[in-house]
Amino acid sequence: MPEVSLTKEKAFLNLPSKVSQDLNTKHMNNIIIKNLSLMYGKKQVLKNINKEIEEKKITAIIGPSGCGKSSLLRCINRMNELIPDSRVDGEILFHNKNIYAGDTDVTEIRRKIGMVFQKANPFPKSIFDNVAYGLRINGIKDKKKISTTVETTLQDCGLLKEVKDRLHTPAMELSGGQQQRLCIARALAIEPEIILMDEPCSALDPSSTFKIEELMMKLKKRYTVIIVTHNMQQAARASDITGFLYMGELIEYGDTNALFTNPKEKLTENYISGNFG
Amino acid sequence: MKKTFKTGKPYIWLSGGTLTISLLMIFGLIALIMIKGLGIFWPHNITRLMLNDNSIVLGEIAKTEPIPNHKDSYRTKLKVGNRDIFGMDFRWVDNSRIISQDSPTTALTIERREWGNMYGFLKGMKHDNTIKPMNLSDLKPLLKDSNILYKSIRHIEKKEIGKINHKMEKLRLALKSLENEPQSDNTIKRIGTINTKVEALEKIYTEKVDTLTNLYASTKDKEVVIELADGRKETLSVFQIVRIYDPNRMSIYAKSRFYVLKFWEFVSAEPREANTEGGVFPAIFGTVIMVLIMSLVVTPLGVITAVFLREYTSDNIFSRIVRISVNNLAGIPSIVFGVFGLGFFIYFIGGGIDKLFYSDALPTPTFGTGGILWASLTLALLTVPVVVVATEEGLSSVPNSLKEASYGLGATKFETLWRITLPQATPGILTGMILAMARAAGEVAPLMITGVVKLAPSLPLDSYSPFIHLERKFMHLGFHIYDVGFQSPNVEAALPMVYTTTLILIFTVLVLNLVAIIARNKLRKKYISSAL
Repeated sequence: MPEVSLTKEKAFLNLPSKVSQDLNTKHMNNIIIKNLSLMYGKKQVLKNINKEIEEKKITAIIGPSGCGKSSLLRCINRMNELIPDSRVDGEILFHNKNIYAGDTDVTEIRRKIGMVFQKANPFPKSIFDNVAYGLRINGIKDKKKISTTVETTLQDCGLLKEVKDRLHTPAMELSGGQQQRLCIARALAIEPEIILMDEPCSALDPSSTFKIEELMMKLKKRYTVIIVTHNMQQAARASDITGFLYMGELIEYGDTNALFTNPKEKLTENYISGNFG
Repeated sequence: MKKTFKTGKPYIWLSGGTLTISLLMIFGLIALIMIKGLGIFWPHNITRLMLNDNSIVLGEIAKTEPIPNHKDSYRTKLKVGNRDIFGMDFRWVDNSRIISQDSPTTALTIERREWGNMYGFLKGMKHDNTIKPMNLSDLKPLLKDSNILYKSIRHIEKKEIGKINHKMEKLRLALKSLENEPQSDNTIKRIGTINTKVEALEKIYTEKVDTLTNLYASTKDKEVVIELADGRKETLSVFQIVRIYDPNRMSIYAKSRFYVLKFWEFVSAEPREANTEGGVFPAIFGTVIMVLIMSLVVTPLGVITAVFLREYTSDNIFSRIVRISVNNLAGIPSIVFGVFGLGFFIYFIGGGIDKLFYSDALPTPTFGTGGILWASLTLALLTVPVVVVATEEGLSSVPNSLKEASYGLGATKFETLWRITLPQATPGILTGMILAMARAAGEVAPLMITGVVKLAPSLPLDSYSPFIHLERKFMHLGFHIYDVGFQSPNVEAALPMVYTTTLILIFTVLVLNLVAIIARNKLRKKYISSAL
């Protein structure tokens, strides 16, 4: 559980510095989704999702196109609110508090729950400024601290060696795989607890994909990762828990190996064996 | 036939053709203005015509044209100068009356401080009642001294006495406000100190006036005698001569040098002779300062409006009304803006400022009358829709993915706007600013009501604090063109100057726009879209 190492002018959720052994708080860092339904205008995208996402594990969400995987992911850090006409019913509990409650600070939620998008979207700034962006908007001004954090994060993502001598050149000049790793570094710099990844490798070649999967395995030790993917082999390889979403409903959810070798539902089996979607 | 149209070739030719026509029209217009305007600085040869009634005319040939209603007869227009003697600058001569013509090498063009050019022959220097013969090369050093004298007189008049006047004015206002206060020992003492200062200043003033009188007296002691075409001898004070040259003897090289000097004088000097001679520098300066102030006002106003319309409001009736109003502003005739500026800015706001801060100077208005500030604000209102539309375009060109990335890191809407969206939209904002500047530099009608004058005594920017004087009236190139071409007492002589001033105006707008375009191109390179 990462130390609370960043200070900010605004008040934020108080987090205990050590994992409590008390049974009552054992699942406090999990995300509990309760009766979640999502509507875009008149169209219902998610129907009554109930799930508990375990911490420090990689959870994969698979399903055919248009089934609501990305929408589910975006619900967890309230990014759906950027879409006009969207409405959420139900609750998502994070640290036992509903993130959709009226008094929660959405920027605080997004700080704790980071996101990596499908297409790498680095800012048109330098590599250094990209990673430092999150730190700067959270009130950190100490140049030395920013510098060390940027280098550590880039090192964690395996990018530092490649960009060490050009940290202040534009980020747009990196290759696709490097840009995506930069985006992951950018999300990690502010030390979130949970990382949401929306098909991070779909636009990349196999070697970049492999690097990012390696990175995910490393991240598992410190962060909870939820990844949406089209690629079933990737889900089977990299994740601990898999959920299968179909037409907005969570059909099956459980241990990856069990789900892929012995699916309980017929729909799941059809999807995995490639009969549709 | 259908096949040819399908390939699209006819349309390519059509677009190429119309583009060429447009470019030709633009270049043709500029070439016409250049031909008519740039010739004014070239020292033309002087021609002497002998007519059939034994009279002689001397001057520059302006043009030759066929006499209307009489085929095959021509007449020549001659610039004979000497407006104070002959009454007119130009004279028509029927070609049939000309017996002979020549170009005497000793003929001189004399540019004077008043009454325009004089054409004649130098007889000599007036010495008591005789004429001491002299040639041009002897006169030149005297002319140089006289010009230095002129500059020092102007310096005393403008800078030194101007400074005294400035101080006196401030003391007078302080005195007036003190006299309005209830009288106490303190106020009486202060009134006393102010009065002593005023006396000291008046003493310095009298000294300066004495120096000036002496200087002016000394200008009269050197006079030259010029023989005109008809044999008349005219006395001319050396002080009255700005420039004297013999064009018939000058080589191409000398004439070119002369041309450059005259051109430089045009852009750097003040106007003389009711704006028909001299330079247009105050007008250039006023135009540039006004455009800059207007840009400073319109850019924040337009950007904030566009940000509100695009980022902060949803599509409801209020935002629609705002958008329609902004777009309609673009269609309002510019003179209406002038009237609005007069009523709202000058009378209402300016009058209010005068009552609050400058009540001592009343009834003379400080801000309650036309000035460069009100003119710039009026033009800013005129060009706001352009900036709003261009900024909205720029804002919509920011890819959503960047904004989402920023929100995903926990940024608020304002932080995303300030750090990501606005920098990315800056090329669009600059485009709006360029269009606004181009439009504003050319509008004259609203300016005439809100603060442009024919001749301004001082520039809006000078060395007295607060250094920029927003309440001053100013000169403007567009208005100068109108004034010189249509309001001057000597339109014939001043007409080429209209063209030259037009050229300067086009060039000034071009320079302002180039600066903004270069800035925009640099920013565009920085914010290219994703490499993927």
